[in-house]
Amino acid sequence: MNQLPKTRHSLVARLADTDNGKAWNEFLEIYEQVIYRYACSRGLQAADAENVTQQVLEAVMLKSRTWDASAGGSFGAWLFRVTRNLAAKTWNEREKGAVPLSDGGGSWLADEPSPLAEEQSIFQFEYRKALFHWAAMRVRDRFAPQTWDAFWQGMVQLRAPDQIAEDLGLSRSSVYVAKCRVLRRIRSEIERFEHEFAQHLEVD
Amino acid sequence: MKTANQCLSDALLDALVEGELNANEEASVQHHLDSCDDCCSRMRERVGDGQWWKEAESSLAELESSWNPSTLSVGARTQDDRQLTATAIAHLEQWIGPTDDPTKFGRIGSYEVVGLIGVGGAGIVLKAFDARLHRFVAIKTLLPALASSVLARRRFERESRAVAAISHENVVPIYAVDTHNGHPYIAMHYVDGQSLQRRLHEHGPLEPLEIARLGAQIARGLAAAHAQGIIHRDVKPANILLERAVDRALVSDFGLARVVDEATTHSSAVTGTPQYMSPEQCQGVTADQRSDLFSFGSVLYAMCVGRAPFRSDTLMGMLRKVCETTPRDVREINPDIPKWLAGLITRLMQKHPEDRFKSASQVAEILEAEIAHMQSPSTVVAPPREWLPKTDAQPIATPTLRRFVMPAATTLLGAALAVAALQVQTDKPSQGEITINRLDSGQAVIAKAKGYNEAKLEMREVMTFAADSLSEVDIRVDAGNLQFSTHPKDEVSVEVVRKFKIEDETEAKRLAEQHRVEGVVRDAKLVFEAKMDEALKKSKDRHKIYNVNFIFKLPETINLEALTAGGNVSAADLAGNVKLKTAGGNVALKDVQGAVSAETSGGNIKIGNTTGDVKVKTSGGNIDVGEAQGSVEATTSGGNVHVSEVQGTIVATTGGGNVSVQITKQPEADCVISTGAGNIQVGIAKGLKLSLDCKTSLGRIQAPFASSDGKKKQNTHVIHELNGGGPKLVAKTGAGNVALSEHK
Repeated sequence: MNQLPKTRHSLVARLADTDNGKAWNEFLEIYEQVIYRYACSRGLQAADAENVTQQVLEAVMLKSRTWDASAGGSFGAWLFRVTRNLAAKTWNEREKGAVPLSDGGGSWLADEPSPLAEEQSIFQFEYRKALFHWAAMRVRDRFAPQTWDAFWQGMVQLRAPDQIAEDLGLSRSSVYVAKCRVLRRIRSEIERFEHEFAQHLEVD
Repeated sequence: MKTANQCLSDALLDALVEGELNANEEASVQHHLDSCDDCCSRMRERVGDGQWWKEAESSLAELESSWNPSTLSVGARTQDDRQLTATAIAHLEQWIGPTDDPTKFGRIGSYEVVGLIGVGGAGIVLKAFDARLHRFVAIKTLLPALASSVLARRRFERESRAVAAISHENVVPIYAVDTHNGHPYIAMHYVDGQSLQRRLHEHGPLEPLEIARLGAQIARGLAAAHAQGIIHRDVKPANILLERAVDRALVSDFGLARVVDEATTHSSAVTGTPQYMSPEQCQGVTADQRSDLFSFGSVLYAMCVGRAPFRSDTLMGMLRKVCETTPRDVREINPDIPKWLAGLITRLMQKHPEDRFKSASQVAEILEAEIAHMQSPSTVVAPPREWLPKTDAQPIATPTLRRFVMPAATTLLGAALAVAALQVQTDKPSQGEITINRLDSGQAVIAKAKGYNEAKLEMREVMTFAADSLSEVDIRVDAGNLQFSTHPKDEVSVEVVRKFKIEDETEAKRLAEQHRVEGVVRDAKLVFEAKMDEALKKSKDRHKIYNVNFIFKLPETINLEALTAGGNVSAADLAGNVKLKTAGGNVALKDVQGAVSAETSGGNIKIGNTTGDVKVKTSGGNIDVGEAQGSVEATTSGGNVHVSEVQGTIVATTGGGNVSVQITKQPEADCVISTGAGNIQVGIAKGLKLSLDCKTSLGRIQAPFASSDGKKKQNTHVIHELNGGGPKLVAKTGAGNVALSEHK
């Protein structure tokens, strides 16, 4: 998977540094990666993907001020559209004059784009992943190592509960409890973020 | 309390998940869960419904494959240390065998364990006594969580053996690598003292000299390891041990970070913090020796200010900071830190490895030189510090690191042509020879350069022309500095030095081919031309040739005419006539016997010790002429003119600048000084005979020796026969003043 490159855009840095509230910073932490990876997955090179990320976040910042939550439509869906359009635009600019690719690369923005809904669900999935990871990292310190290990090995490494129990010297049910404990925290962390971010949008 | 076979209430399950039960309650509830799948699945439902779990599972599954492993392997500082220690001790009890000595804890191999030194990210460190050699040792073993991984154990042994091969006074020596009851351990030198971490914690920032001293030792230790191909990967204050008796710094725990990295995917058992990690480590990119240099920079930073350079509450925040932000300059926090040390740290902590120093030993050398200077500033001069980031373009020192010599004909059309056209002897070794020097990249730091270490190359090319039939040299270059001096032999030699800011020699050669240098003889005249191909001129690549110098050596008597479209020109020790012109640059000329003509737009002109007539012109620049035997005509549209010790006629004209003229010897001809708006100052040696005619439209005239008997007209026009009169001295200014005084 593509990692966000080392140089953080000045704009992004600036956004993060401005007093936009915690929710906004957290949003950046999560979304920056998602947008960047999406852009990369659409065939953009690192530098272009960085540009797209910057542009999207710029657009997001402007939009977040005027976002009308009551008008319906989710922010995530809107964000996806912005990202997709900008990625497509950049891609078009880069490939101008080039022979259209018959497979992979170009087809998604040609006459027959891959189904929008499918793409959007990929974007959403990336977002969920980033969100879970972000939340997991945030709650980690609140757990004893053993609890965390049980959770991680079970949910991330997909090891069988019996194996985990044996390795960590726990009972099988303790492994379950550990998983539940961490996940409950992750869930409330995600819910808190989503709530605060929604509020952030409304307030702005 | 529920009994084991009674199903649990939702409230109780919630309390369990929230961790709100006491130990007894929890044990009992757990006991029930062990036998009740129903309650287990109800507990799941308390967290989320089936859909939610599905989402959680798919989002978390194999997260590590898509997320940077090093991101995950780094633990947060807020780890529950007590928990860690308790686990470690429980593990030790199992591991350490029985002991014969009731005062000791137990035995590992032949070592009697006498105490626990600490529990770190990678392992447990014990103090033990080696009865055979009668000394204390430190025993390090993996943490239980790691020890269970075969991979980690193998890695631990392998790394340890590699480190054991390092023998250096600033590396903690490893005495033995062995296993005990199946668990690997290392027995190493027991350092009686404290870690740098503790020192910083207890005392705060260190003194600059102390930082340099310990820093040099740490750098030496790292260099010794790097020489063996070992990268530390976890250079941090906790891994720097300071021996009490001599305050010697020893680097410890080489390569262990890697053991941890490879064996784990989570934080619980892992290295402390990424506070000292390099950006490349944070990104999971392959880290090399330069990664250690970054961490070392962070350690020096901590020594200067008492804390780590990067701080953040969250792991992600920390990683991001390491990768993306520049810490505050140490001098802002601790003004006692000398500039060079701050610069050294900045350089070490460059985000891009190629921008850091080349090696730990280079850093050690720098620190050692600085220490020598700090200890006796009066006897040891300050080291050159050419590695410091420069704020201005600097002349480049040229230590040759690598040198390539190749025949010119294979690379340079120009040289080949010149050789052919002139039929010079071809057996001269210097002729047409090209050498390429790789300048020390650290030397030539230019503020606007992308990185500190953008490679600098210098290509030298020497061409020679037989001069026996030459009377004139005509030089035209489209960019570059020109330098002229005499050649002891009867030939003209040109050394073309191109400086490149570039990746490698191949590219330099390619560009050099587009910078044509040619010499042709026509009618006793050598016409030498240098110019860039149009294509190169228009491309961005032209900036890669950032400096071109032409060093000419000419037979003394030859007449010279030279033109450069941009560059400084200097000439010395010539007997012929000299005519120089540059479109933008300074002109310096001295010891010339023939007539001199120099022109520049924008630059300054400085001329000294000439025999013939001098005619110089600049728009905007200053002119300084001294010791001229012939006449001097100096014109500048905006700059100042300074003329001294001139015997011939002086005509100094400036549009707006000031003119100062010192007349020290009796002139043989008239002097005319004129400026639009500037002041005129004339010093006249005692006893000189001159007819003064000074005039200003708006200013005033000061002529002390003329006031008594000269005709005055409101102090704006003075006519006076000085010492009976002689050649005319005319000084005229529009808005400025005229001051005449006696030259002393």
